[in-house]
Amino acid sequence: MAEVVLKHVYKVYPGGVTAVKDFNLEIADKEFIVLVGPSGCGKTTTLRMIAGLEEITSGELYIDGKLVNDVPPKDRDIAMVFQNYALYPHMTVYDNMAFGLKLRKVPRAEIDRKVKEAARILGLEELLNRKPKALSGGQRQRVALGRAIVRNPKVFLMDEPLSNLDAKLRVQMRTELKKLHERLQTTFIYVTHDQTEAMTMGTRIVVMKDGVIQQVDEPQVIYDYPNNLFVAGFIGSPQMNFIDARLENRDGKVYATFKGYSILVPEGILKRLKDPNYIGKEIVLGIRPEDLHDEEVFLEAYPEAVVEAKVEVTELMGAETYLYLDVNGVSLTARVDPRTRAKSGDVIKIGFDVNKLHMFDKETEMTILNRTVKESPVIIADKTASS
Amino acid sequence: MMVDYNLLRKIGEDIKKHLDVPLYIFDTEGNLIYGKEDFFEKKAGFLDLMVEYIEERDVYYIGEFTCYNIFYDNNPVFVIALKGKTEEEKKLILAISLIFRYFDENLSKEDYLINVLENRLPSSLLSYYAHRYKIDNTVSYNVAIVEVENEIEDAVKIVLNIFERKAVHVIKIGKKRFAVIFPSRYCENLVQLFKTMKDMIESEGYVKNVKIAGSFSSFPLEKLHVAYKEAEKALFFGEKLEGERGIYLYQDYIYSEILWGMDKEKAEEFLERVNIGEDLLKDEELMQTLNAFFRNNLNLSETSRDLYIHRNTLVYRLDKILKMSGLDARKFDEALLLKLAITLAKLYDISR
Repeated sequence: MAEVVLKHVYKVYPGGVTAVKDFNLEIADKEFIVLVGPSGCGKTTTLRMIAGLEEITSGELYIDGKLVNDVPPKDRDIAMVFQNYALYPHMTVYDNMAFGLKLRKVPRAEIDRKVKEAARILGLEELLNRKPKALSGGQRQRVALGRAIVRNPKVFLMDEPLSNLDAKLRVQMRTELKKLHERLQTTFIYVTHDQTEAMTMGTRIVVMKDGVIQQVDEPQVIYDYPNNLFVAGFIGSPQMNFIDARLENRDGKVYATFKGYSILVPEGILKRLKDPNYIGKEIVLGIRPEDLHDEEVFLEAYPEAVVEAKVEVTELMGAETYLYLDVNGVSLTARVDPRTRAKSGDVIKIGFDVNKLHMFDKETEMTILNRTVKESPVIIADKTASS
Repeated sequence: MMVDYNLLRKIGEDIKKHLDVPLYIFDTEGNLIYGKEDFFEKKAGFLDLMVEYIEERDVYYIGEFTCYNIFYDNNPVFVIALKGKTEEEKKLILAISLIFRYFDENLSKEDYLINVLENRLPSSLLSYYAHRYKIDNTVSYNVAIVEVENEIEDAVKIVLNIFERKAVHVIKIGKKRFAVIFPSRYCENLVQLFKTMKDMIESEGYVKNVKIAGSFSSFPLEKLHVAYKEAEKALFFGEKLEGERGIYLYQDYIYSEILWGMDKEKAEEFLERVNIGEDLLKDEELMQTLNAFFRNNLNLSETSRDLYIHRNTLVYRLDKILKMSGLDARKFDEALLLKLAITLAKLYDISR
């Protein structure tokens, strides 16, 4: 159990390539934190620096309050589980879990105690004498986790540990890992490219791009209040729809206009605007697929938030249907009730849940909305009156 | 020690293949093991003299022949003889004697394998020791070179255990490097195998800076030196071109080997013409994207899957590369120019 602190950490490879830039993060004791981002964003490099497998170019790394920049990996009290694990084919489950401890020359009695304890936690007690070929995929993955657990580390470091599993097993192991974290009450640092894994497993998520942290927060907060266009697009599947729009003031009401359509922006959103000067300017409007509706009741209730769209493709997913739409050249994806009557080629009406609108600066790509009205220093009424 | 006469004859044949010299091998009682018998029928006195010299430890001469005794465990076991008495024959017979000394020195498995990788054994000895060390001489093998910064002993143990017992052979080459010889049945997906080796060495052994390089294809034992050379080249070029990747396959660097021989001035001239820009070379994300795009044969879908990114993101990145370098990686000719320019810039450390 330990907290992990990274202060102004940089990783620059020989040749000048910077993989991680000014990384600052405090990971609390017993936290399950997930580093997520596309390939090349620096998440694995960050994890490997925490592990000690990569040198830190500059900055400080503390584990349990101790500066560990120059501490070798084996003395950092960490355990690693990586994507490409293999079980030793001729060893039993017991020996597979014990092997790492034998390398460390841990006394036999202690190895025995630790292996049996890990087997109990993972439900592998009955399988200790089996060879890997006699195990299912899930059992093998648990043995791989067992190899890390027997080390009794302060911090678990996991780099895409589920990526090589099939979809069904991956979902099952996600739950098992969460349970394991609760049982072990230890700090977990988990790297994935998969935003679903990040959303479902992390107590907090660190979204990274180009070696830079884009946002750190709880999954729901990241989903509801993305800091910038990248986070908004990366978290969520299907991804958020983005529309180049303009905020226009008409008779004291503010509309987001695009391609001949106007969507009334509600006061609740306007009050969250960071700067009233955005009214009258081009912005990027964001709306999640589940916040687009084709139900009659919705369309009637919000007539000023409705546009016409041509249905290009429909995808029935079972519990929901995805509509791929074209609104005068703007592509939108809507996640609607599977009972929808919309078919490919239809022109339908689609309504925006305007209370769920996101707005971003076109140049900086940062959000222009505060999370709450309280945070906003701007009085919209004054601004609209003067414009 | 029992001397295998058949093996001695094979060695004689091996030497004859490379050196067209009249070589003879006798046992300590003067029986001819290898060489033309008709010649010695006429030279009965020669054999009597040879038996007299049997304890001699230096080169000696009988008639028009230069002779040398081979000892095992301080006992003479056979004699080699060459026609001629000049300094050249003396040097030659001493050189030939070195081959036979491998028996005397009781070549360890590790030394044997190093000699195999360095192509220093005649095929007869190669088979002899393969049999002695229970190395299957009927299958093909591949070679991987593993380089680590620390804990090499643990890394070796981990690798040995990843494979089935007896299927793999490991030889340490220096303090930070070892070679892994493994049969072709493991070669179906070399990248995956190397990734597994790397992840296991790092996570189980807490080993830093693990680099693994491998040869292009599998070879029989007598050609294993080719695989080893390829693995060495893959490590050399891989470190230069994609240092942080850590896994290098020779087939990805064959073109680099050709470019490596190029005049630096010409490389600079080329880079001046194809100005891809320093910013691109230093952009980790874009370089990784390009490398993956090349590895996946300019296939957008495969590359986006490989990099876990949306196809549109990949297209966006390729557009960005086009903007920075003026070259569109989606077009074969321009992709080729990009690849050449990046490789040359890295090989010769030229930033432009």
